[in-house]
Amino acid sequence: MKTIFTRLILLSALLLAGGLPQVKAQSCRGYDKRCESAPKHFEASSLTRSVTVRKARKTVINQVFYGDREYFVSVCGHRRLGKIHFRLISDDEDQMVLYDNAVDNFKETQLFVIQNTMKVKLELSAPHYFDDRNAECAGVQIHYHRSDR
Amino acid sequence: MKQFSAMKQTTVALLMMMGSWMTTTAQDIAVSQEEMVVEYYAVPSPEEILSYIHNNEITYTPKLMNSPTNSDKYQTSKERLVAFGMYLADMAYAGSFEQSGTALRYFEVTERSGKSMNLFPAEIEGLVERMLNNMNRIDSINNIYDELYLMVIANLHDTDRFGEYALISAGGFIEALYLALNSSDSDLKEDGFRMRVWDQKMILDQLKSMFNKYLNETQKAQVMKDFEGVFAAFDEFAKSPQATTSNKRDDGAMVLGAAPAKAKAVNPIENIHQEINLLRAKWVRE
Repeated sequence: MKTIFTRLILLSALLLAGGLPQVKAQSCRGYDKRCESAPKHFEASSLTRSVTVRKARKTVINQVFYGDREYFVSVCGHRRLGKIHFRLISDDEDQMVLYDNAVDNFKETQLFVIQNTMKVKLELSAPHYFDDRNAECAGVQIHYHRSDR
Repeated sequence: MKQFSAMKQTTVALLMMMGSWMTTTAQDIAVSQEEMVVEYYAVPSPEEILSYIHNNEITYTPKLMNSPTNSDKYQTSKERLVAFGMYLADMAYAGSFEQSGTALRYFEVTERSGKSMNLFPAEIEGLVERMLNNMNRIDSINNIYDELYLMVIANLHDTDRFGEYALISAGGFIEALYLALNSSDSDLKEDGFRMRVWDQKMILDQLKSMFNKYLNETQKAQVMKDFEGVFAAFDEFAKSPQATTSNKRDDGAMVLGAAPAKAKAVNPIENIHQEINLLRAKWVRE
């Protein structure tokens, strides 16, 4: 009888532990290649990244955009994540939101014309993703070319 | 039977306690997730830094590059990672001037040292093959450089090796600036050139944050000391902050920039030039 109870306790503990929110670790390397490509005259930028996205988590990528350049930013994520929310924020005292794709129906691509070199924060999140247990992949692809002016 | 009953009560109490603990833990995780922000840094590659500064206005000066034969001199992890970044900058420099044979030599040295530091994922083998098959096509070589760089960075990012990324970026940054500042026809007196050099202060700020955040105490102390002169040179003139504005163009593009500054001479870069050369000489150990 004692053995049966010991087994019961162990089984219950295992079942309960299984109910804990567990975030699955995974590699997202190369996921950015699934994002929409830039027009052909743009060059690939080393600022491109793939990231793991979780519920209620914001990913911020600190970057520098050079002046007299145009940057084509393209975001994408696994379909389970729903729409990808992306904002570009000035990385200075003002922390001004320079662009928010939520006002553009979560559009996945945007062209930025940079007049002078600036530090920016590129913020990614999946506001409609409610899965506590699993993480999914997202990517941000960045291309650039020199402005004509 | 009495013993069995006591055991049952203990079990029920234990399960209730576990249930309660599980609930609390789940709530805590939910609360902490709501506040969670994960922050990364993305530094432009040496090729992007170099091409931004020189703007096609300098002349290829091969004697400036760190010789591949020096690669065996670098022994510590910090030295090898910094040298790897420098060789990436040299490969970009040769590639941007269509020197495919020289670019290949630098590809070989980065491939060898990268493999020994486990910086590459398995896909590197396909890239090596493509490099060898495209030796005479400079466009392909430049594309392969971009892929190589992204492959390394993505691999480090994927495996949380941000300290190594910081050191590689530091090496690439210093070598790119060294090449841009010292190449023949670099116009150190020209306002546009000097402004583009001053713009690198923003990259330097990023690197400083990365050193503080990701390097172990020993490496941090060494690198911060190495950079002392460079930090001071870039802090020589205080820059008044300009508010960034954002306007949507008719075609949907967002135009971002600070209000145009009143025309004034760009500050000199002699101290920056001197400090970059000093640190580069220290790191190369020729």
